[in-house]
Amino acid sequence: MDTLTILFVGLIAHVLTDGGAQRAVLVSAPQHEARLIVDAADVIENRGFERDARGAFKLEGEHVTIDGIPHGDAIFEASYLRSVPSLTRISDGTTLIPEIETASPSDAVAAYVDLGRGTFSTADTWGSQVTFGGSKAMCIASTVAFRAPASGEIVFRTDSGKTLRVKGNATVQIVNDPPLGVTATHFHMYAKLLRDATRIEEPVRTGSCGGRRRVATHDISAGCSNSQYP
Amino acid sequence: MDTLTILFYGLIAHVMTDGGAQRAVFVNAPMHEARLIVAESSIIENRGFARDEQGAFVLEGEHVVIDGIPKGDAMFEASYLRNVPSLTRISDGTTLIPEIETASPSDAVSAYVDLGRGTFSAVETWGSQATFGRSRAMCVASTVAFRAPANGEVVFRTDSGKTLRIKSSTIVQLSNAPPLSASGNHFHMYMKLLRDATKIEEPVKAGSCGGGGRRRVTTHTPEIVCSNIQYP
Repeated sequence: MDTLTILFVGLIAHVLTDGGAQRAVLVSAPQHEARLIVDAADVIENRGFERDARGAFKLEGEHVTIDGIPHGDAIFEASYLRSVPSLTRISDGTTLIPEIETASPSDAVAAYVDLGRGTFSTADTWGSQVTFGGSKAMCIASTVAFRAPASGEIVFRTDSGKTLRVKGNATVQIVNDPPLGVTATHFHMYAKLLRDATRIEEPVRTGSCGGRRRVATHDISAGCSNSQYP
Repeated sequence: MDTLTILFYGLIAHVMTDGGAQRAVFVNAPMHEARLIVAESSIIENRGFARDEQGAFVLEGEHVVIDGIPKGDAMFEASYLRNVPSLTRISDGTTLIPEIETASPSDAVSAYVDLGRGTFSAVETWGSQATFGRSRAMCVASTVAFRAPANGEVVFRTDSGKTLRIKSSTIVQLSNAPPLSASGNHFHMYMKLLRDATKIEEPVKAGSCGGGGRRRVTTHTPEIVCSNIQYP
């Protein structure tokens, strides 16, 4: 049995929908590009996905599902719960825009990727410990990992009919970042995913993540980061 | 490899501490009794735990750790995230009382049980869908399960020196509920675990958890009464 690893970086909300789907929602934001990046050696066949100048597969406008991993609920390691900010905790919003439940097109969303029965964890955090409003201090994930058992090959399939076949043991990056690095935090951009939010707290630095680090830590500032809902 | 299963009922907060412990915090509340219940046939040896009239082991005042299951972070199934309310979402509090971090005695806590590397899930919910304040509707877990691999035997050990050795393939119940079933919600009693909370929302019935396609755990009594919670 192989293991498919997906690494999520950037403005992506991991949503547990009312219908039971575990959906990665890539926020539509200025300068951000929704991309799937995989080593060319792991690609078996591409039917229809356009590639950018760097060879990354464009995801804008797509709803992607994955064939070849088990269906069902995901499992969450403590590192994920500890390091991925929850939208309902860092904002006054409680309800997502309705398009997310059905993975329908929305100006707020660049792409959707539906996952299956795998395990979420935090693979890497930013170097600064932060608080959101009055929340307790946390080290924010800069990279979220999703690992799922797979066998043989995996197919990323869009509602529009595109398919990307990759090896079952591939490591795939799903990214929603500006092409050039930015320094400011982006959490306010998640507000557009919430129907009733009037504010989202931005992270305020309170210390370093060096001490009780349970995952790898890098860049000192807290930049583009994933979030979870609820 | 055996599996130890612990079923949690009642006023118990599942806290992920800053120090990395996964700690079940039993709220000290009127009429509630912190108990460990296990079938007689699964007990290998009891050294020091008092038993109540029903034969349950009394946990009040104890900090319990478990030998015989792997150390490390717990895992959480989606059912747990979906069905166990979060203290920081249903209240305006953000910070726990400091005693919880160190499992120190507190008037707010009747017992602590530290867990290890196992998996949490919600195995049963109350029959009513509820909202807390403006939150989205959820089916609240009435029973939370923690399952961990174990081998041979498991020992529940208190800081005060008591030990309870049991078979590792056992189902253990950890409960913090009134001896007789109580009506009404209890979530406000979690307030005492938070240093800075001024209010906790109580669940308001918003529908049923029984029908429809998205029920993923079993469902029983319609009313939402004594329920677990998670922090943060």
